[in-house]
Amino acid sequence: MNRNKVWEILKKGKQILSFLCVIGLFVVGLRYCSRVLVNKTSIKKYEQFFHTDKRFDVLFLGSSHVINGVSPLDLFRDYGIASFNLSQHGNYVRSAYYLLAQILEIIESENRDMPKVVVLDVFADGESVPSLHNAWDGFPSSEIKRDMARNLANDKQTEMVLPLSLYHSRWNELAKQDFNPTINQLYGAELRYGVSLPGAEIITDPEEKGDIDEEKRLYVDRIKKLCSSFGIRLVLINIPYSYKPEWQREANAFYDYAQENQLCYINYMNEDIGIDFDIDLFDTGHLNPAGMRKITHELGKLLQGMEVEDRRDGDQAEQWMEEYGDFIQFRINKLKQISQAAIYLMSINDPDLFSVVQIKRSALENVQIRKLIQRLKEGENQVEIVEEGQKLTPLDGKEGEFDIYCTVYEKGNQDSPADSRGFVHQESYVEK
Amino acid sequence: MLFNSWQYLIFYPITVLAYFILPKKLKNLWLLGASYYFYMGWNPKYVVLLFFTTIVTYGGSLVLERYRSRWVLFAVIAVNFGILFYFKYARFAFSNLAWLCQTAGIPFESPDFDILLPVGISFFTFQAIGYTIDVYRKEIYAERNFFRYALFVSFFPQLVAGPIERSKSLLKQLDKTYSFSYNRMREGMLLIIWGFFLKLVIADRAAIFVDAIFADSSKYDGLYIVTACVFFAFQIYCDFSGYSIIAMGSARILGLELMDNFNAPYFSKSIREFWQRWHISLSSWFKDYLYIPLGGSRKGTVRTSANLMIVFLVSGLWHGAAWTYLVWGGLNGLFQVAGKATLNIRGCIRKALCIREEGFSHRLLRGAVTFIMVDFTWFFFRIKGLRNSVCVLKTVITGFNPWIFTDESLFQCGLDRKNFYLLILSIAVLMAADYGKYKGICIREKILKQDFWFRWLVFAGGALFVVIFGIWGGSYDAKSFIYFQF
Repeated sequence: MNRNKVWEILKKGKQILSFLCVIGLFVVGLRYCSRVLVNKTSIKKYEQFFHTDKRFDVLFLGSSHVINGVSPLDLFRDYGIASFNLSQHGNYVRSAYYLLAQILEIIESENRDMPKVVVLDVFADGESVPSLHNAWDGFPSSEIKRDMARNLANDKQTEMVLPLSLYHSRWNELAKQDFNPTINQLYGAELRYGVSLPGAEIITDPEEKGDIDEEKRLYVDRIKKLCSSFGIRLVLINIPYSYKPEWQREANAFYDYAQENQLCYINYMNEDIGIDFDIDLFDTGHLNPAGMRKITHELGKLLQGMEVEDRRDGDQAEQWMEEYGDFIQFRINKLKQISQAAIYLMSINDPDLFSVVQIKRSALENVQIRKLIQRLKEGENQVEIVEEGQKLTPLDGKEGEFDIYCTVYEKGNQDSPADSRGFVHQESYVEK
Repeated sequence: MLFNSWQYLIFYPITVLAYFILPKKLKNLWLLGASYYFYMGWNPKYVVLLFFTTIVTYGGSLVLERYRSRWVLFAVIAVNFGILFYFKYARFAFSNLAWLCQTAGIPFESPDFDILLPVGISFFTFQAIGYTIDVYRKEIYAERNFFRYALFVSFFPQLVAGPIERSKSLLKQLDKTYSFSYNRMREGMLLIIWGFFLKLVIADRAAIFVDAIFADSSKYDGLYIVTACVFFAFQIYCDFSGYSIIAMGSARILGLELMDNFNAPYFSKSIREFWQRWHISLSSWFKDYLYIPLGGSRKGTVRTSANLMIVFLVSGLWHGAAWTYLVWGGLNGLFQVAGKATLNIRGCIRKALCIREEGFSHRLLRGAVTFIMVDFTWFFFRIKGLRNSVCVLKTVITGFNPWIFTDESLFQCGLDRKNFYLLILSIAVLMAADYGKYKGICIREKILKQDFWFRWLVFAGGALFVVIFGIWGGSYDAKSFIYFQF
């Protein structure tokens, strides 16, 4: 080979390398920009699932009702059940099918243990494209994601598969959170602090049945098939809410579907599990932490009955319990942000907290306050009702005119209160 | 198929790759097939028109070369302009005829023209006619190879928005086939990135503001309209030149060189100069095939003025079948005629005021006045309806509202503050690049001479900038992503 030829080959090699470097730089830059610009809801939600060595025996699927209805950390502490709440706001059965398929594919490709049970909430249908984005943007492109986009995103398929085509214009609203997103540490659950009176209609008669949407039926069938192909047991549930009676009727129709398909179905609307629609709801559609605790407890019992392994003695138990400790601190910190008496009273009714509540009798005229106080009494809390004309004497010596005063301790640490708060009895229970 | 479409992003690399892999004999055939596929991506039916124009001008030119008959030339031109007239101007002509008849009390009803304008028809018709005239004038030989000629008419990078290439340049280049050149690829890529920057970052961003104002011009007055007009000047420039530059880049990678259609037009110091720098391929087409045949400037002042007016009125009509385009063209012609007529007077005034013609301040003033005049004509280009244009012009004069520059009102017209400033910044970058071009500095060459790391950053960073800051894809609305109920 003569010198010129060698020189020519070297030159070509340099050119190819140069071209590849430019392409590489562009791709790296594009990936970084995509990550920063893209909507973080999905990343925040699933990051904990992807970056853990934990095994999950139970996966929960559904909409926001499940996000606010099931707490995996409570489920582990009370029943030793290792679970993840995969539900996403505004994502119903159709999206749940693809999410489950995607998650199972990832679990399989990473050689992780398959779940034993999938719990699916049958509420509603008709995902909006933004809701699909909230669920899916964190997932890399895959055949399942493309399939989901084809079937659910109509004319917005491109932006579902290539989120940057939508989010690149977000450059003008980037914030610190986009560079360091706060990842959900509650295994997919979210706590909504609020106490709302129920909506107009609550159907708890199992005989009032509507028709199951055909497409929804088709997708539940698909989920059933998918689960059985992996040897996973499917459980259907309906978490309580106090609106959309047509969906409540549809939920009742699922009794027949479950029977036909030999599936376990629990409609918690019709079960006597102690859900009080006056104090266990954040709004007409979602449970607050008190309601969540009740549903989680019921699910724990159900799953325990299905012989889902109790992992409290397992090798990952210590880590779970450590995270539960953080969860208690999380709830205590939340307490400090609450400004309304009803929400505060709901929040301190917590198995990990002990509260001393002093309340004037007049404050009990409010139905929610009365019920919340009753619940605190039934728990291991100390409630002192003060007659009119007398002053409250806060334990921490705080001075002021209060109608309700709460001193909250973390159980096992009753030397100093974790929080204390006084409220004046007004229409809106505004903090003094 | 548009350059800024997913289809083109797939189509172009495949076309280029196959072109360089295929044996020499098949290269041009492949490009011809690709060009027809490109055209059919918009409306498959209208490919017949492209083919018909090709056949007529190809056959006509062979006949013209042999017989050099004016009648044949006339027939070829008439057939092609006939098609163009039918698709582009028939509705306009008949509706005006109907209006005239109605005014004169003659019963006449305009036929219903429910026709979709074939994309690029003005471009390929003019290119094919230019070739035919060149053959008639014996400036070139008629092309014997039909496929090569068909490729000349349909070459995809310049098919739908120019530049209107001359047979002497493009046809000659198509005689050869090209193998891959790394340097040409670098140059082409740089051109494509710059073209996309102009189109997606500036033109399409400016369009948001301009469209918001002109969509409901009765809501806006004074400086809103003026600002929209200034942005429109850059929108139309960047839209058109961006497309031309992407065409140049796309052709460059394939080994072909298309003419530069724009040469820093907003640095012109007169309307005449502006038209030497704006849409050069069309201006020179009109000059060679219309202005000079009409007598050009050789037959006295009156004929020269008349010729100029004819050329610019036709140019107006070429851009669109509406009175506003005619006014736009007419104004451009009128400004040139007035420029020529007042040349001496302006010279005298300059002398009397001791103004140096080549002084910076005078050049700046001339540049500013030219831009204002050009922008004034753009107003008619953008506005819908002649009557509407008069009303809006009135509000420009009567509505004095300088506070819109300080009270954030401007940010309520489609572009938020950050997008508005990004647009201004991008326009500044464009003007800096154009100034370099005006001074004869080729920034592209300068970049390509830099060290590797700088070049890599320009390529990768430039492409990334366009992807992030360009207007494309779905429209993100944060509000629709906020979860309220479920």
